[in-house]
Amino acid sequence: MPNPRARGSRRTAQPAEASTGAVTPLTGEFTGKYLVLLPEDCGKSSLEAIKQASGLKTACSAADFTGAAVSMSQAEGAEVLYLDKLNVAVVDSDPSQVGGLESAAASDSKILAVEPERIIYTLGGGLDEQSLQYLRGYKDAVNHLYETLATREGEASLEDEDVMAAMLANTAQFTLGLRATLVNRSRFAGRGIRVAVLDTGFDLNHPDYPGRVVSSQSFINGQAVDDLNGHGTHCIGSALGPQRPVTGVRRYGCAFAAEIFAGKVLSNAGSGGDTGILVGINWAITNKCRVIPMSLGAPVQVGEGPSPIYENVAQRTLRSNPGKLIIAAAGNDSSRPGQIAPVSRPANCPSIMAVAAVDSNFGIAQFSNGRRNPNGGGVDIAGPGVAVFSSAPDPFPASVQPTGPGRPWPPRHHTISGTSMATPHVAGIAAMWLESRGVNTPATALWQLLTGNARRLNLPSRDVGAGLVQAPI
Amino acid sequence: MPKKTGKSKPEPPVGVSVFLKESHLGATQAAGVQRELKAKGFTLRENLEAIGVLTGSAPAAALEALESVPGAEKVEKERTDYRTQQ
Repeated sequence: MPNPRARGSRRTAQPAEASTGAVTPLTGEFTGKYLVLLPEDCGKSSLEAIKQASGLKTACSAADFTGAAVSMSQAEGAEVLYLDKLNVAVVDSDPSQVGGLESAAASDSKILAVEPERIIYTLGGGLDEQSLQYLRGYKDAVNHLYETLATREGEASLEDEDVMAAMLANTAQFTLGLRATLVNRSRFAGRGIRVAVLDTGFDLNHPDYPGRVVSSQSFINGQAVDDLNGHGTHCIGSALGPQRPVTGVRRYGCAFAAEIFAGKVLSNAGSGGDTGILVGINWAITNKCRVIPMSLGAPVQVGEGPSPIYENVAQRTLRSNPGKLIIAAAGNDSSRPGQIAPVSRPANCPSIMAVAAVDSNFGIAQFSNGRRNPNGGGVDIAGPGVAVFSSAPDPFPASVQPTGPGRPWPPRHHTISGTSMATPHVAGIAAMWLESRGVNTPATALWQLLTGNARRLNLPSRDVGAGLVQAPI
Repeated sequence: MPKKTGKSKPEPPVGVSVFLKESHLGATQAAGVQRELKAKGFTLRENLEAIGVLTGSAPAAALEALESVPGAEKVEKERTDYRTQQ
């Protein structure tokens, strides 16, 4: 053994700086080993390069074991453990030997990057400061490897919350969407604010909403406001769901203390027309609802302009005192990356806030529409819109539901995707901003608060507008 | 050659929305606009006062004439192809 020291022991001393000269101080605990990233299909030549650069002799490969079931005691005996399927080698070397590896990484195409191996701990209930610190430490390593390789266009940049949200997804306490938008950290809940969700109605007897103030009205001939589609119930959940659902599931709603106004402007089949929608908007405004989300849309052609009626209505509403904010889904007609459809109507109005959908990696959802038309046809902001967990009608027999892909939904809660899901997140968060700044904050100011505080994403504004909506802390 | 006899079938009416000018939102002016629209073929369904919109129906051929009524800022044929976006 060239250097007598305990293998696998914790070290608190700073390891050697990683290759390509990163200057950021490395936090966390280290095992004393190093991770070496190799190019794909490198095989033995890279292993040889490692041995030569570091002066280490003994190597062991996962491929040598049946089913890659590496015997850890045997691996401990080797100075280099080669994980062939991952293109990573774990190298037990001194800081001085690492220097040789770093030079090789800089100059040799057979070694891409070198990082100190960190100690990772399981996470208990919530994320305490210690857990956060370890994750931040790991973020350095992940970021470094990420920056070392070519950045692909359209990839979101990795920052603290990105790494945590992407790695951890839904938790027992919160949906990914609430974490990505900082709703889980906010002390606001839309108190004193009325939000009108114009959709397929609401399950007025859903178990998650006992004692919640709900006003409802159907604008569909021959149909009660009771939601037999599920979409409206799901959207109301995302916007306004409870802080601690009595059914025991994770929190999935933003403005848990806002007043719910459920207007049915879409039928149980999920379709509707201008007449019902305009009547619904009129009802919402008459009832002093400051935020009016509409997770609905009609497809728009390239070259088609916005509806003069909706734009006039929205502009007058937005600019009145204190005004109301109308929000609508950008639409799901796209098939990215090849096909990006224009923002749907009525979201394509300049005075209506158009919402795109992003996924758990902060990438644009493959179905999310983008700006193809000028004069209001842009996306204003983005919200979480992929694999969104929220309320569903309960009970919800298959016989009452529409048929089609993804049907029947299970009762009580369901996970679905769409710009429909992103839109109510923006609405609930808008109500939280109104509570934080004062219920008389003008709607025009509210628009600026939402877009100005959005989290910038490494994506074109054509796709996400100002970025991912964020709640006030 | 047999001649066509009788009137052609009337077109079915289409859904129409009318956005009222700011100047015509008061009760008297709005009533006046409604009368003139009716004279040009518009059948009122709802008067949405909070947003200044009249919804109703009219023959497709009458739409252009409706827009010429003083107080009618915009006239639009109704669209019925809105869908949930999930």
